[in-house]
Amino acid sequence: MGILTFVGRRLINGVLVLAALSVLVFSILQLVPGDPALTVAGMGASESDIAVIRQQLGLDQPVWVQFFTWIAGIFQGDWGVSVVSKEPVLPILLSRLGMTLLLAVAGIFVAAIVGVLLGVNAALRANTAADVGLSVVALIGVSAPIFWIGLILQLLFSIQLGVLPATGSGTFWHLVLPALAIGGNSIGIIMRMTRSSLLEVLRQDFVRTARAKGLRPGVVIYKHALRNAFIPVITVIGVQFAYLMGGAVLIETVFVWPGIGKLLADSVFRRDFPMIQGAILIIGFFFVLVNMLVDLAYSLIDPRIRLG
Amino acid sequence: MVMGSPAAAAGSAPTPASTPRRRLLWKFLASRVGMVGLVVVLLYVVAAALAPFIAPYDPNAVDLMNVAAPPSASHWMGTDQFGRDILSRILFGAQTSLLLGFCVVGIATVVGTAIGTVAGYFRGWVERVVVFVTDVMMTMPTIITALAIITIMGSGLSSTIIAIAIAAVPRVVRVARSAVLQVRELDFVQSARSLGARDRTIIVQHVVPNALAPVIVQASLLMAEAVLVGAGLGFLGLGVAPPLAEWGQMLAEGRGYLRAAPFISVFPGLAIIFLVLGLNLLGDGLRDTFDVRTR
Repeated sequence: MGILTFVGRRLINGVLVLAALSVLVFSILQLVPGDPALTVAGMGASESDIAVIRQQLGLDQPVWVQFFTWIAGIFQGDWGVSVVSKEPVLPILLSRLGMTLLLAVAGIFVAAIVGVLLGVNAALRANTAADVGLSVVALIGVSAPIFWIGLILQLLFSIQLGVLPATGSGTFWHLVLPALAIGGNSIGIIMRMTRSSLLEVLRQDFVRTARAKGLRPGVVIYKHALRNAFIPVITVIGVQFAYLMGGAVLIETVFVWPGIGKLLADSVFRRDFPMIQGAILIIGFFFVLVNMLVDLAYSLIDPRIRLG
Repeated sequence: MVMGSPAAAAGSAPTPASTPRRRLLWKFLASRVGMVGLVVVLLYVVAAALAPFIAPYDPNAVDLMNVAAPPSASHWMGTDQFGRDILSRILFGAQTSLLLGFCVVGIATVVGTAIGTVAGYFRGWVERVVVFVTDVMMTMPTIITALAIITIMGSGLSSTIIAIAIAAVPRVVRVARSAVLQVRELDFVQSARSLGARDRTIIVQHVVPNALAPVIVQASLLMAEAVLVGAGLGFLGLGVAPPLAEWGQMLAEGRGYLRAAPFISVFPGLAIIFLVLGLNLLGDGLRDTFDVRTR
């Protein structure tokens, strides 16, 4: 399969997944018990308000007409109006998405560097006390709820040491703790994957050859072995990156970070349906995009994937 | 969870039916990781079951003369912002988390295995539809799917369970289907088919019992995730509702007192970590025992 065919297929698959996802997101409002117009209008709306909303939402139309009207709106940038603030949701969602991306990129950056370094160390010291110790730390890191990690970081660095701000956003220093917390789980996962993948590669013949011809251990490990061990690691990093969106809901709440995750949690609380639908759609879009890029990345690194 | 039906085991070999199973049991008992996990999880189960008898206080008893008191001889983990005993609330919280975890895993495993088996066994368009829907649902982190369902159903214990279970089903489907795909090609399944056994008989007696190992491994890891997501929803105030004691919610309530009384948040967090750790270790042990590779 040529690279273009491969990309084409992944694109088509991504579009299909997004189409199906939009059906699911659309159906959220349909599935909420009661009259959707009443739900959107909120408590204490007058009879005429509800009538206007019913017409605005096209609730007098058949469901499939409503769906295509909704989808057309999505394409035209009309994602509905917030029930709470009465503002269009799309600009709010986009500005919040930027903050979440900043947090997620910082988080995965920290997690990837720390995770790979620790994983390489664990693999090189396989079955020593240091390796076991690292494994235990990784396991605890994977098992800890990230909102608890966030609180502990606040406790340590903001309250006890007073060196970093506990909540808010705006400066680089505000980013440090939430990025560490959101990457916390991923460090353990990336570390474990790097360790097992590198151990597998280190057993192979070409590593022995590289060693036998007298290359320095650093070159053998970082240039030859690690490169070949990287494919599963990249997959894990990609998956983790996408999953940070789930963590964002919690971490942004802990650190009062104005991202899309906190927006989603707040909107569920306020039952702000257009906002909920928009947030889930954007997160889904992001997820599909990242998965596609990950597939593409390793089809470039390892041609066997798209040829096979 | 035991493997298969007696009929399947008896039909597979002339040796005593319990031999392969006993071998697995010994293998599990010998796996230190799995045993540690099992002991930790059992400790939680015992603590939850005995909570009404061993909890030193009523978990909801408010004592306004004694709020946010640090750990002491009378309150081992201190009291929260309403003067409620934190240890007692953690013990009762174990009931909530375990109930949630077992229900989620029960529902998701049964439903997911059924769907995955049908997809993997019959293949064709059924399989294609199942795989596609699974892919679509897996585009969302569990907590976000759960939030969408809670939007529809409202919060509370039962909707939290259903929400997390629905989010978890595709993960089980994936594991069950790929296991079934392998089992259905095995010789004894093929020969059962060529002998004219009905599909239902083959699935129930041969395919499912032999495809169960990865599903069981998945179940303990899934329960770890269910506990984490349940606590996360509780933390957001969108999960299990008061008066039930719930660790995530306890942790959230302590946020405002982090400076003066950090123990209000720290202890529920530790309770979550050790349970999830135990479940993860149990899963690792089961994986080694059954020799399954997960994802």
